[in-house]
Amino acid sequence: MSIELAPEEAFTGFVREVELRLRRALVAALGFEAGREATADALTYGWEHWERVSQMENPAGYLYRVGRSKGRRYLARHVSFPALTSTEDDPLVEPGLSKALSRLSERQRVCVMLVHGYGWKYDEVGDLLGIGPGTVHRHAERALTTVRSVLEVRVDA
Amino acid sequence: MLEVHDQIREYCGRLDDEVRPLTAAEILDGRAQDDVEMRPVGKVGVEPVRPVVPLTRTRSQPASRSLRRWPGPIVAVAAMTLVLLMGGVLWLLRADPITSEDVVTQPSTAVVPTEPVTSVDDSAVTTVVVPESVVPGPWTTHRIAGDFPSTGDVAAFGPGFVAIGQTFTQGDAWGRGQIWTSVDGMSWSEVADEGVLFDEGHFAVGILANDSGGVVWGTDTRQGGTVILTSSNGTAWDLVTTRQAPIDDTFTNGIALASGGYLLYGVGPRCFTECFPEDAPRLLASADGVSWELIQTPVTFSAITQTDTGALLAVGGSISEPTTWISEDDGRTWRLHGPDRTIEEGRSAEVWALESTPFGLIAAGLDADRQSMLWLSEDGKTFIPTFQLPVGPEPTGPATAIAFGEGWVIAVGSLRTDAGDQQLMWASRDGIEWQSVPLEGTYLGGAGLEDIAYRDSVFIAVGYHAYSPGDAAGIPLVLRWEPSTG
Repeated sequence: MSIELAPEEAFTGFVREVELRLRRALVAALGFEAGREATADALTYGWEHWERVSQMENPAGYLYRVGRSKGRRYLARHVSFPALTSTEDDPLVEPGLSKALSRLSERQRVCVMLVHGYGWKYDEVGDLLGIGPGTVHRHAERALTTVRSVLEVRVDA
Repeated sequence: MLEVHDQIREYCGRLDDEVRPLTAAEILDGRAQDDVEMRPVGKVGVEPVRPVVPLTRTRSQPASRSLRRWPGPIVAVAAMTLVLLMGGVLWLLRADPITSEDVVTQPSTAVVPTEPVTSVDDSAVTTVVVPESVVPGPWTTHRIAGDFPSTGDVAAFGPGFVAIGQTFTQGDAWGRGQIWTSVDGMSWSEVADEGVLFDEGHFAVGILANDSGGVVWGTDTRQGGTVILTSSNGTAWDLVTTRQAPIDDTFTNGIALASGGYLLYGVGPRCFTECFPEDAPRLLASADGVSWELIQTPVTFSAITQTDTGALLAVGGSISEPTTWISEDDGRTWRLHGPDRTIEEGRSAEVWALESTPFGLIAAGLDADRQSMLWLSEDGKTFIPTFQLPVGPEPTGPATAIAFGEGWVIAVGSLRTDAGDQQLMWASRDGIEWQSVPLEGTYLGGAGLEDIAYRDSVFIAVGYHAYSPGDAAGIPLVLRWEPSTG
């Protein structure tokens, strides 16, 4: 016997399930501040249209596109990420990494951050973006190449 | 010390720590959007097209700047209208018809019905030759079989053409590389693998070949490092072990042909607090593609090409300081070629492709404004922007490959749009004037082009395709043009 949840309960479960993934994807696409704001906008839209959204096959993918569309109004000219600079005791992240990520195209940045930053599978990212897994791989690899070039440290041979 | 992808993982973890998760209660209460007050700053717009520096044309009269930036079809329609108007005027005045001596014509393979336009009043308007009244084509579409295949590179090799890419078997989250061969570019066969050539997560990224053999290189996505395969005939391939120094920790940007074999360029493990020579720029030489030795390099190269004199010309350095380098001993030693900052006058730029053609060296990449650009250099020292590619809602993918044949130089790439990727192609008869090649009807939508090769009067362009569950096996990934039948 199936028990039909009240919309609020169903939506609460949905948010618990998708908020983190949606936020990570939108922050990757739009930057730190705009991505957070877009996540709130997308989830709010999801609740306002819950009857329709709840019936979708891939509601997270749909809300990603909603968030990406709504979030663009928060963007300044460039996508930005906080430096989150390393300390001397914790030299794990190069200071220029946030700037290097900002320089990537949106598609490259989303692919490289979700695949290499958060461990998503290629087909999971492909489902979100509506592109093939091979294309996700290509964008992610190109992004890594660009980031390596941006971060290059000159070596005196 | 962490490699870049490890740093990205670390950085993303820290980003998560900076954000308090949203709860459903906040959404339901309408509190979520009040938490962080942000002021909309307006829609992100498309940057205006930056005028390119005009070059002195060598083949015809100067064309106006605006013509350079107009798509071919628009120019064609405008030219047709102008021709009709002029024809009417000439008919009314009973003037002599335009003769072939008045115009510069090109051999026609043509689908665009344009005519050169001659002004009646030379003092007002000089003779204008519409930049190429012909375009290469038509291009035909051909399918490559496989599970969610995508192709990334193609070379004239072995039986005809060899393409490389990836396939993703259902449930195979990582996917693996794949090689296809074709005699004519129309029908393609998979090279049998049986799990020997590509492990799960091993991808094929590039292929390079000459008369004596070929090399496929790729990446080990799961453990890092470079994957190398070699072949003497294009149909049988051998895996070179990837777990041996210095290949095992090299991140490859590309491989170039040299007189004595191959040069592999890229970077070693990233360094942060302390750098050692083996940590950053990497250049490896090999006579056979099997044994590789580390050689000195002044910078990390992003593209290398062999010129018609046999010298190697490279573009490299950091993005903020792109420089050109030359080697006349198969890459053993390099010297700075020309001024210290030769691309974009010292402003940042990324060069993605470099090709030696009879017109000079043609480079493709992103200019200082992060827009796609084609440059031409006659001496390998100074690169002059010749053509800015279409601008999309985000920095577009630049042209990724260039090929020369039959008097045409053709560049391919992709335009990223909200509606998906769109395959693009540009053609030129002189490396200066470029026109868009119409590809309508040659793709199913949401596709991009990655590479192009020429052999025996046939051009083959390969690319990738948008995800389409109902069309997973055997999707069109190859465009073919045979000028003699075009």
